[in-house]
This record gives sequence, structure tokens and C-alpha cells, in this order.
Amino acid sequence: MNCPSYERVTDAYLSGEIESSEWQSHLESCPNCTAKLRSESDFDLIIRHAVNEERLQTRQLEAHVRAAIRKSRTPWHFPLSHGPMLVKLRYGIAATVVLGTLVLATFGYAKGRMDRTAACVDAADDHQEEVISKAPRKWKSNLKDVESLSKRMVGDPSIPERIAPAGYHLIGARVCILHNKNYMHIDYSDGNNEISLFVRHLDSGNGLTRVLAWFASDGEMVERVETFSVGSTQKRDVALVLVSSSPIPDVQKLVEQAANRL
Amino acid sequence: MQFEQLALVHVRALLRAAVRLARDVSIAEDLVQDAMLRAWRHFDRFQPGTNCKAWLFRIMLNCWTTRHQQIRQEAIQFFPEQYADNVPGERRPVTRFTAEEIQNSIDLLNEEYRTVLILFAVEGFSCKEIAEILAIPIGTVMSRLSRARNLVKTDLAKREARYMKAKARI
Repeated sequence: MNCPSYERVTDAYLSGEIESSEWQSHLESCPNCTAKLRSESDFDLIIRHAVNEERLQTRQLEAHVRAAIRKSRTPWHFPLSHGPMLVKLRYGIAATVVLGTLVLATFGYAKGRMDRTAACVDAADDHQEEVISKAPRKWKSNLKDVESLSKRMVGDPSIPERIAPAGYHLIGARVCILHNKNYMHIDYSDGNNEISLFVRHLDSGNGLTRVLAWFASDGEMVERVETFSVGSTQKRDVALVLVSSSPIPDVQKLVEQAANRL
Repeated sequence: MQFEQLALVHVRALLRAAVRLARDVSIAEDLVQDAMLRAWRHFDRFQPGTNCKAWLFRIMLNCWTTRHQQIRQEAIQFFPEQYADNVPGERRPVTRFTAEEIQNSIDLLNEEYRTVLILFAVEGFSCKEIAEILAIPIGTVMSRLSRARNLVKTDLAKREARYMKAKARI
């Protein structure tokens, strides 16, 4: 009992250190520690055998567990698969999200494009009717009235003067409807030719409209509508449509300049 | 199925520990069934290649802690049927105590001592594995284990002293 390691045998045995070469060589030369270690492990064996003496019937329990598992199977527990079902569920959700986003993007882009084309066609009609054909309409020609109308329609009174094409001066402004939306129609002239600019503050719309608007193109777009070149763009929450008899490249430039001044 | 191959094979070990834990066979069976169902539902969280038995014991002990605390103090007698479940060829130390006496001594232990003793001596988990299963420091496992063994030894010694005293009277 004089061995200094004797008291440490239990701790070493419990912690698994007893397997180390240092302890193994000590145990080979120390009968006291060997006897204590044997006593410790024998005691655990006695406990083990005593506990294992108890008769335990597990067949019925296993059957119950299997039945309970079968009963508790949820739709994502597919019986034929072996892998974790949650992973498959996650992949399914991810695929649905990607597919949904693609559908929304396609639909949003197409809708945005159609809306702008429809507005451009209406703008060309208005330009023909109200500016070229001089149909009797009430125009606001006083600068203050035009600024007041601009403040109401797009939230900024200075826009009509700011976006005026170079060399053109303001003739008048009025409210009109393009593709079911209220626009401010502004008429400019350089003495020979007249240009119509239509502006509108973009409303936020409902949830779906907002989502679809993310995918709509807001860059400059110029197309030919009958005898006119019609350009459109969206910038800083303002939609802008420009109608002129000038060729498409000139109208493209005019739209860019106006958009930069918004 | 993978679950049946990996998990259902441990039902006997779980039940053996559960009986000692609950000190009642029917409660132990309910406990094992609950644990197996919970393991099945969360089988996607089990990492293949890790110790499935330790994972199942962790689940069962969590079930026990959360669902059976109210009955664990009740003194319920277990069924002392004799059944040998020994590994063939394993060394069997000689003891003068019956299995029932040893089981009774284990059942007298506090739950925290009883749990670590069963996991270590009967189920063969290392102290490190027990620390992970019970989420306690390894030093606590070792001290509980040492204390549990001493308490069982002391109780058995008392039983023997009582027996010898009674025998001397005769």
C-alpha cells in the first residue's frame, strides 16, 4: 500500500488513462495497484451482470415502436427514401422559390414592356390630336399654373422647365390619360416643331404590382408609332414619355437628356 | 430502412437503462418508445458515422428529464424475473450478493449517480461520452461515478452486516 499511484488507480481507470503505456508498465510491476484495478473493474462487472439479470422482453416493444413510427409518418417521410427528408423538403422549397421568381420576372418584364408600349401609343395619339391637330382642349399656359400642376402631378414644380429640350420653350400643360394613368402633358416648341413630354409620378401600387415592377425594365426605350418617334423611360419615381416627329436617334438623345434632368 | 438498422438494434440497451432509471418496466417501455419516436422524427439530425447509441441515450435521458420527472420519486417495485443476458465468454467475478440485492442497492442511489453508473458499468460508455450525453463536465461524471460505486459498496456492506447479525442470532 506504499505505492504513490495507488490512490490514483480509480481516477485513472474512470478517465481511461489506465490504457496508457505509462500506467501499463506501472501495473506490470505493482501488484497492489493491479489488485485495486482488478477490484474496480470487477465491481463494474458485478453491477453489469446484476443489471443484466433482469428479464427484459423487447420484441413487443420493438413492434410497438415500429407501429408507432408507421403511424407517425408525415408526408415528408417518404417510405422509399433513405436520406434525411428535411433536405429534400428544403430542395423542394428552394426549387419552388426559384421557379416562382422566374415566372414573376418573366411576367413582370412582359407586363412592364406592354404597359410602356400602350402608354407610348396613347401618347402618340394625344400628340397628334392635341398638338398637331390642335383639338380644342384647355391648356395651362401660365408658368405659375403649370408649376402648380407639376407640383400636384409629380411632386416638383420645376420639372416642366427643367426637362425642356434644348432650344425649345414651354407652350402649355394639361392633364391627360395614357393607358389608364394620369399624366401631365407638356407641350414645347422651337418655333417650327413641337414636342410633347408626358410625366407621371410612379405610384407604389399594391404588393403584387410592386413585386412585378422590380422586374420591369426602366431604361430608355424608343419606338416608332405611326409617323412619330416615341421614347420612354423611368427615373427617380417619375415615368416620362416623349413624342416627336424627329428620327429615333434624336429622340433617344432627347429622352436621355430629359431623364438626366429629372 | 436505415433507422431500423441503426437505431432499433439499441432498444434492449435503452430499455435496460430505462428500467433502472424509472424502476418500473411499463414506465421504462413508454420512455423507450417516446425516445425512439423522437429519434425517428429527428433522424435527419443524426450525423452518419457518429455514435448512434450515445445519440439515442441522449434523447432518452432528455425525454426522461422532461416527461417523467413527476413520477421518478415514486417507489415502484420492479419485476425480479431472472434472465441471463451475458456476453458469451465474458469474465464473471464471483459475488456473495444476489442480482436482486445489487439491483436494490443501485435503485437506492440518487438519479444522477444511478444514471452515470448504468451508462458506464452496464452500457460501456466512456466518461467522455457520458459527459456529452448528459451535457455535464467530464470531471463531474468521474466524481459522480466514483461516489455511486462507493455508495453501492457501502450499502451492500450494510446488507451483509445485517445478514451476519441475523445469522449470529440464530
